[in-house]
Amino acid sequence: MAQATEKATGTTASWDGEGRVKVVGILCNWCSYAGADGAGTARLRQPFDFRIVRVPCTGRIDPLHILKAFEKGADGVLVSGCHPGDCHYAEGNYYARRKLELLERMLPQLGFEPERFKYTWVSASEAQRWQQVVTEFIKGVEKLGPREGRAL
Amino acid sequence: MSPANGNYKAVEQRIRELARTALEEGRVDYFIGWTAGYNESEVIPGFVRSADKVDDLVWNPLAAYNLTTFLKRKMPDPPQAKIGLAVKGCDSRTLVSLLQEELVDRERLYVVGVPCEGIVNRRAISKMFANEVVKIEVEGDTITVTNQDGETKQLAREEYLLDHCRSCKYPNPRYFDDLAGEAVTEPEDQTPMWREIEEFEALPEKEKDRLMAEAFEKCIRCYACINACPVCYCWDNCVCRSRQPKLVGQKVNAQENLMFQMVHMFHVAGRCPSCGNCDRACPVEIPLYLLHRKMNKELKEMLDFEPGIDLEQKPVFQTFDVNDPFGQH
Amino acid sequence: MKFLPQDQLEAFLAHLAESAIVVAPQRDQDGVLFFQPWEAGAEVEFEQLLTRQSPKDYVFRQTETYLKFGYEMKGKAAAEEEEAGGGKKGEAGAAEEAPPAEGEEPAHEVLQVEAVEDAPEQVIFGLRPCDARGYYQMDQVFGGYGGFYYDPYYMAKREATTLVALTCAQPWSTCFCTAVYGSPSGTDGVDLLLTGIEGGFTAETVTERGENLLGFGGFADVGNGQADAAQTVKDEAFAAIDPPFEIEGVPQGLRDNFEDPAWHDLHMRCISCGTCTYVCPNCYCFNITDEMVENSGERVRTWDNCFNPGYTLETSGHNPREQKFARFRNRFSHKFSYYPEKYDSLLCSGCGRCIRYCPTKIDLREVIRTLGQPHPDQAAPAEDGEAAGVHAQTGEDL
Repeated sequence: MAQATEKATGTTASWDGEGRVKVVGILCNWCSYAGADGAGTARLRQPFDFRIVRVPCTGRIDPLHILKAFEKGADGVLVSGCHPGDCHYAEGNYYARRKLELLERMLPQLGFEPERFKYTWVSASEAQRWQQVVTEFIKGVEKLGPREGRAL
Repeated sequence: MSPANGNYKAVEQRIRELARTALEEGRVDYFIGWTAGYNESEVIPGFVRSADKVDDLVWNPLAAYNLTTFLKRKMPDPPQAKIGLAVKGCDSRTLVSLLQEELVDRERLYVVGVPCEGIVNRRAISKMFANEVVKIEVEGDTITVTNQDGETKQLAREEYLLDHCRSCKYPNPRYFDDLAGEAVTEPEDQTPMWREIEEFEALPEKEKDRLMAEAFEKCIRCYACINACPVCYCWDNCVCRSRQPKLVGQKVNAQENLMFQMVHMFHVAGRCPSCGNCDRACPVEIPLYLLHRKMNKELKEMLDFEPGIDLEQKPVFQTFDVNDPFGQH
Repeated sequence: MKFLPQDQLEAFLAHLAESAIVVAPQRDQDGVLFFQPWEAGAEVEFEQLLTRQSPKDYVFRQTETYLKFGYEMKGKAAAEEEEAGGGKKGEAGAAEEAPPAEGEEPAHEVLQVEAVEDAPEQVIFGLRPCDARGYYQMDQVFGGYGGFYYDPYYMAKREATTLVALTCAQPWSTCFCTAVYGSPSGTDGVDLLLTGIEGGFTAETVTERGENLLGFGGFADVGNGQADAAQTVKDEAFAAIDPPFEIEGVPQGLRDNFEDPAWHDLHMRCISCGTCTYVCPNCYCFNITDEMVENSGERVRTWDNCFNPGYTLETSGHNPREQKFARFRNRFSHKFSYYPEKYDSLLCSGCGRCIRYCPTKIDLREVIRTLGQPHPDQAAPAEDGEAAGVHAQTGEDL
């Protein structure tokens, strides 16, 4: 046992500290990022507390990235990619689907409420659906409030 | 329930014979089995390089260690050695996982399968006395524990089996060249090993968080768990040792420790059969099974998949099915 | 010598806790015994011989932030930025940048460094002589012995620490302190030595710090036969340990046997983790890392272990101890050969934790027995480094 451990001080990065929830999105470049972009272009209202990380494909995502986001202070993480069958790289999201499903099932073991993580598929033409997905997800996280976990 | 192969000596003899022949015939450079530890209560991995030393090998319900760990890269000495080893049912599953991914060359292995009827929980047994336990003997249904004062206690073997041995579905090795004993029947109780997991799952979120934080506050980042794991083989290239990018920090606290352990769990998902080597290796007794058994429970539900059963199967995260029955969002 | 009655133990701990953090052996949530901070009412346990880990962590912390630093802008540009409310610099068509006025500093980046001082007064209560000896051995490394090196962070904590040791009554089969110049009632590093006898403990002071503890009112004068009873405990414990090897000549023997093929047999079941190093009372290797986020961070010292595959990895990519057997050989050689060359001790106190808690029960005693003395059939050490029996292993063996 590290008996005299220093307690984790968390990040010293400059979050806004306004007491709102911090939600991180990991979006695939081809479908979801474009879809989110489309929602922005169409001036569809969305919550602002959403910080997007762009990846080439959801297949690139390692569950470690989502865990890291939570460790560094995210209150919720939303992953979005191309619909299964429409992956820009043909198969990436099929691999992602398995990994993310397992992650979703494992997070409760660490004391995470299920509303804090979601993976979904939004295509580039689904701007309105993107607005709906993001709004619903962030509302769900807001209801739970900032995450107060000690474990991660 | 009395073990059918309760005559451990017979199986022990057979392991010795098979090892002796393999060494004499030059089919292997060394044979890995189990041998006595620093006193009569410990059984540890044993390496035999010459046929006249095979009598050091033993077999009994203390032979917990999963020997396939020693097949990982950087473990064999000399590196290109031909290796013989003994595997129980659970051990053979990690061997199958390694073979599925072609991480070990089949041609250089000689595998002796040991049908197993359960390993006893040495940790629980050693708590029988306040002072040191110096001898553990298992005969038939009875465990006799002796402490350093010569006092003894008798325990029922059934009550002191390792948790996952109780509900073992694969007591006979899934991969072997020769068998060292008669095939055993699976225990009648076929409830999967995640009974304890269901209890944990039912706890409220705050409680699970607290228990996990408490468990991983203890971790001293010795990496015994990941090194003891037969399917965790990146070693010095592991993400937890990487400084650039820095994914797991150098500080040792509950958050970093759990981060590191979760990364490990996810990276062995689909190849870990919950053999328990990690649980037993941990010097501070962290209940790692809460993570890997949960993982295997979910895998079974998601994909009806059990790691390391069939050599022809592909590792489950290196493949996909267009019709995977989840993720319909 | 004084006597502390059993029923005064709790009061003594409470008395110590008034002016220091008291740390004593307690069971955790899984029933494992560790040194943990003591509070009134806590269940302390002295019956079990050893805690799982030595209390090394309380002085030589596993994670120690000793510097905090940050980069800041100072000078003219910083002042302007503050005026503008922290707005962006360098906008299109920005106002002219006048050169700094006389006496004014141009914009420049400054590194702010703040040392973290953290050396609370503490008492480690109920450690064994082998644990205390671990401090004695580390003190030499960090305490300026031989003019080599003085570590202010370790020493500040060490000087604020009082060690109250407990004589071992019944050594375990893995104990071998007597083989490495120690003893179940040894006093290296100890301030106050307690020995359990009927009705309580005898208390012997070793240092002035220990002397100061006797101010507690609960101590009684030593009664009839109590000193003898204590001596009997010590003698019996000493006799109960059968030295597993002859220490004389081992430092030289390990050097002689550097190329011995037996190293390749003994390391086989080692899984190259760090358990032995981290449970040991005196292993002291460490890493220094700057953990940064954006412009600020902390400099952190953490434990390292010589079994880590990257332990000797150099920036060039070369690793002198790429192979497991080489790292295995190094640990024992350091503890029994290299360290004694420089310092006034062996780097082992014979607690046996490395044997008990090693996942595969590597036995240090077996290693020293096999390789600590020159072999009768030992070939003369080769001069060009290429010795018979050493397997030629190169780099990657995938």
